Amino acid sequence: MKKILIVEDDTSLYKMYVTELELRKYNVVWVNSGDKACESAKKESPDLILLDIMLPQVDGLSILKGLKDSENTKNIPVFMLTNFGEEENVKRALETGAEDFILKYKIVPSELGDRIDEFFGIKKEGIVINQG
Amino acid sequence: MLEFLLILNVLLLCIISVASLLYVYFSNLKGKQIRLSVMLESLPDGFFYVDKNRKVLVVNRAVKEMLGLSDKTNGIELSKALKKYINLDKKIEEAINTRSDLIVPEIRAGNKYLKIIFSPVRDNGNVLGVVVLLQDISEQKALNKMRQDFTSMMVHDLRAPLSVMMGTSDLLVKRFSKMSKTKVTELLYDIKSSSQNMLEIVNDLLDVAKIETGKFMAKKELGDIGSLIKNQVEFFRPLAERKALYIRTSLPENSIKINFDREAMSRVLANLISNAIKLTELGGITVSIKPVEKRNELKISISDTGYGITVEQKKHLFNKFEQMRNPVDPNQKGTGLGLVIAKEIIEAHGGKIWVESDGKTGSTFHFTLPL
Repeated sequence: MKKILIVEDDTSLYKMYVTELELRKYNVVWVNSGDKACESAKKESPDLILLDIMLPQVDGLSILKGLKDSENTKNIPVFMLTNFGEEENVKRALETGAEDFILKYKIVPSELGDRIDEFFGIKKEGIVINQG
Repeated sequence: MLEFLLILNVLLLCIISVASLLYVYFSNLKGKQIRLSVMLESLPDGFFYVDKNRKVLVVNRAVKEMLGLSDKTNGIELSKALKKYINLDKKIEEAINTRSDLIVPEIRAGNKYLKIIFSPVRDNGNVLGVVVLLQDISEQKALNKMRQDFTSMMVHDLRAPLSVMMGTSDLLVKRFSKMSKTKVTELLYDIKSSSQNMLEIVNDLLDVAKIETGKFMAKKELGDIGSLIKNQVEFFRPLAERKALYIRTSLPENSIKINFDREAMSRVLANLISNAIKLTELGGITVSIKPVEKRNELKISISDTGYGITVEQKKHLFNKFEQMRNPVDPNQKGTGLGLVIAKEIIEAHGGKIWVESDGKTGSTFHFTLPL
């Protein structure tokens, strides 16, 4: 079972994502503030991190840099998941090593689930086609 | 001899008159020059003149201040200093050749942003030189930046509840059959609270827009302010009790009737009381009224035993643009514009609002209303 770490301070958004991802049989762990994100990534070693940008304590782009600078977490793929779609943020995130940049208001949970399945090489029916 | 003396006398009188006239003429001229020089020195904008031989003349104080140059800087030194930021010779050439004003909208000089206007000076069709005006646009630029940040934050804050409403309803439509009743209820509640949150943001924005266009008018009517406070306190009691906080009032025994806008004042009290609850974890909230007879006003205070507000936070509290960037409560939902709106409402009643806090042991918001 793939493990996904969600770094999101909005409980309602988190609930929406976790409901969809658990129905797709992902193991989801959650942190709601920036300062706990790197520590949790080290401890949990997730297969994917969904990272918000605007977070209390530390912002998502700084967390991304911290994750990519650390030996323990630099290989964990990160999807930025935000409503701050300014070009500068997208550029900075992709340059720092994010795999994808997703705008929350443009995607519903099922589409996010499809995108994650596709990333892991899983067909819609749940058949693994590529373990990557 | 007498005739000669008379002629001499007349001549002397003429010379004296001409001399006096010349004296008056030159004094006036000097006076005008002095006045012109004083005026140029007092200009808030930088001003200097470059003649057609590219010699910099008449440099006022503001130019030197803007470029961080000493008072004794001469034309040649100024010309050199400006070359760091702009090709001065080329611009002067261009202004002389085109015989029309030339505007450089923005250059960065040190920590300042300047706008430069080159204006050719003509006499009978010949260009004698170019007047150069420097305007410090740093403040205007900072304000524009704040406006852009504000809009960007606003858009973000509207997108957040919208994402929940859109995403959660889609989830319910597609996954309803696979969810427990409790889960469905929970998700429906999220949609409900997100739509409420969005409505609050839109209302805040509409209020701010109303205030900015001068459309907010306090609809004052005679009423008992004490009873309004009691109602608001009772409304917030369950919220305070959920956090195990006390909430109490300290009001005069007799009712105090004043003229106020009941709806607007409810908004002010609701904002101040809910903020106090949000920022307090231990202790509680006290709302009090104190008549200040010598000033003919009422002082209403909302005290809490919460985190307190730092000096730095105090600076941003009532500023629309900065409140969004530096909220007192980093986990707040909504615009953080409540205090900005409260200030406008209080001022529309002829009162004042301010906060006292040592940054550690709680804070007290006071506002006054005329009796």
